[in-house]
Order: sequence, then C-alpha cells, then structure tokens
Amino acid sequence: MFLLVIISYIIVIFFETFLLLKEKNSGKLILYFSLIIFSMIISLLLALGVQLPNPSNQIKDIVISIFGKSN
Amino acid sequence: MKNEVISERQTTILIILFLLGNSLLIGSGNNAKQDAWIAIIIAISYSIILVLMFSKILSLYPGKDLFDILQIVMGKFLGKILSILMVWFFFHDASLIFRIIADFTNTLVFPDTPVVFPMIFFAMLVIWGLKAGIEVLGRWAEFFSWVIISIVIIVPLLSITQMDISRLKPILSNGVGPLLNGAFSSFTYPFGQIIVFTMIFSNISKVKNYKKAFIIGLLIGGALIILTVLRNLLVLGNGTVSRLYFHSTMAVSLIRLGFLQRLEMTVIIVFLVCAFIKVSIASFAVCNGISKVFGFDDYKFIATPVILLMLSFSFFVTKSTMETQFWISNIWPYYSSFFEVIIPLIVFIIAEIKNKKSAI
Repeated sequence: MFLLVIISYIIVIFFETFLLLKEKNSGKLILYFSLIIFSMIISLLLALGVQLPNPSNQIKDIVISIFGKSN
Repeated sequence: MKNEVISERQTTILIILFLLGNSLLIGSGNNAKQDAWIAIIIAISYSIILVLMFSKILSLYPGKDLFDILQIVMGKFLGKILSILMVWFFFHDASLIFRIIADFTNTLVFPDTPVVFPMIFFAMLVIWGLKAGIEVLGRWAEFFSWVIISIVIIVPLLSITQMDISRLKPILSNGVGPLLNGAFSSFTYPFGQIIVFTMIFSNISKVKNYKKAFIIGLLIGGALIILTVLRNLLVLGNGTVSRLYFHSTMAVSLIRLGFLQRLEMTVIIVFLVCAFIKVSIASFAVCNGISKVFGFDDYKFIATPVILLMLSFSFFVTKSTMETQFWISNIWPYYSSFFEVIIPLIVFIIAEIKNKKSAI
C-alpha cells in the first residue's frame, strides 16, 4: 500500500513535470513541487496509519468557546 | 486562460446544480424538524439580500474576481491574508463534500469496497475536469441539467400516494427557536456558499448582468430543495428524518408503483452529478485563489496537488459520519457565516466608500 502510493505519486510527478518544463517558469515549478511533496507526505503518513492533527478540532473549540455549547 | 467563455444560461445552471449539491441527499435546515421547509423559505429570502450584495461588489469592479477585489480594497498584504483564509475555507468545504461522497459510497453504493478506490477515481475526474477548464464544465452541466432537473421534479410526484400531510401538522410546535436555528443553518449551507461564484467569474466574459443569473439560480435551486425536503418530510415523517442520515434514499425506496421500483439509482445519479459540480467549482476557487496569491496567471497547473491534498485531507477531516452531521448542524453555521457574510460585508462597505469618494 505504501509502495503503491509512492509509485503512483512518482508517475504523476513525471507526467506533470514534462508539461511544466516546457514553460520555463521556475516560479510555477517551485510552487508545484512544494505542494505535491507536501501532499505526498500527508498521503504517505495516512497510508502508514499515523494520526494526523485535525484542524476541525481547533475550529470546533474556537466556535464552542465563543458561542457556547448550544444544541 | 482569459478566453474561457460560458453563457449566461450555463452560469445559472451551474448555480442551480451547485446549490442542489448535497442538500438533496441530507436535507437542509434539519434543526427545525418538521418546519424545515419554512426554515428554507426564510433562508432563501435572506440569501437574496446576500446575493444582491455580491453582485454589487462584482459590478463595481468588472472583470475581477474576489481575490483581486480583496487586494485592491484592502491593500496587498491584508488582501493576500484574507484570500488565503478564503482559500482555506473552500478547501475545507470541498474536503467535507468529498467526505460525504465517501460516506455515501461506503454505506449505500459499494459497501464492501475499501472506500479509497471510488474516491481516487472521483478525484481523477475532478482533476481532469479542472484541467479542461470551466468552459467544458459549463457545457457538461448544461447537458446534464435537463436530466437532473426532470428527475428532481418527477420522482417526488411518483411518491404522492405515500404522502400524508398530517406529518407536517404540528406546525411550529417546537417554537420559533429551532425554526430560526434551522433557517440560520440553511442560510449558510447551501445558500451562502454562492460566494464561491464571485471567485471564479473573472474568466467569464459573456455575462453582463450577474444579478439575474444569481437570483434566478438561487430561486430555482431553492425551490427544488424545498420540493425535496417537503417530499422527505411528507413521506417519512419527522421522527425518521431526524434519525436518518441520507433521507432521500429512504424516501425513494418506498416508491412502488407497478414496475417502478428500486428507484434509488436516480437519487445516486443526481447526487453524484451535483456533488461533482460542487467539488469542481469549490476546487476551481481554491486553485484560482492559490495562483492569485502567488501572482500567477494560470490556475490549471496547480490542480493535481491541490486535489490530491484534498483527497488525503478528506480522510481525516472528520472521523465518522456522526461527526460530520454534528459539524454541519452545529458548528458550520457560525464558522461559515464569518467567511460568507462578514468578509463580503466589509469588502462591500469599503468598496462603496471608495466608489463614493471617487465619484465626488
């Protein structure tokens, strides 16, 4: 499962990088690579079963502390 | 990218299908129990005011979308921070819809398949749709809209024999409190989310008058949602509706008229089309926002990482179906009214002040 995730991400990166290299815009390449490596790390962590911190819990705490626990 | 053109009718259809989103499946204004239909009517009337405000903001700065307007009105730094907040909001929203699709597929459509596989295919379709551009999405939506709208109108008519108007009967028996609570919740989801359209309209050059498209889309979408919620309430009754998570499937499965049985497939088709459009448009807004914040002109190249990130995020954004329902009924109204009402209100006030100053 873990290997499958890595292999499919590498295939995706190869496809897209060919398309992006033709444009010679290094800004786009940097943004694209940073986002896709971030996404790959999160997918790998999920595939390993690591409990990732959930921003919804923080939002829930903020909303409950402001508005009180209703309903 | 600037040459994408969709017609006014396609804009209205996109708005209708976006509103139908997942309200057809899980209902809207569920806090108001059997007065949910009254709550939705109240929500629609408030949304008309909100939508008029959006179209006024858009008409003050023609050809620009909300991210550009935020940077013009608030200055570059604050505008970029607010744009990032809006991008996060719609990213979270799209992940929630992914999560609902995953739950629905896992519960009712393919119970034995690990939920990852249908979701990966869905994500690939969304990536493909984004790279094709909004023109293709508009044409596809126009093609499917006749099917969807006719299903949404005809299927409730088929279940008239099971409707029992006494299930609506103790009108307002719960008091005005839950009714207003339901109206507030319905106002922010789905109607307030029309703000996403202000973020994508800069590419659309054929539409001269956004007001008409917004209002017609809002009214027709709202009427279809009221029709569905009424059908669910009349067929299933208050108690069942508040206990189930996917109401429409249960209501449609009760239709048995000769050879017309097992019509849940229609519910599934309608839900998949509308949810696909909702995810596509929200992802379009996210990609557009990210590329504008970093100063790029093109949003298509960033579609793949964003959607893959959304897919991964949807697996841990909420831990269960019950938590999703709790989140939507209780926390979402307050959280989203900040993004859908307060930020546009501030932008509207500042834009009006600047307009008056430059006119003087």
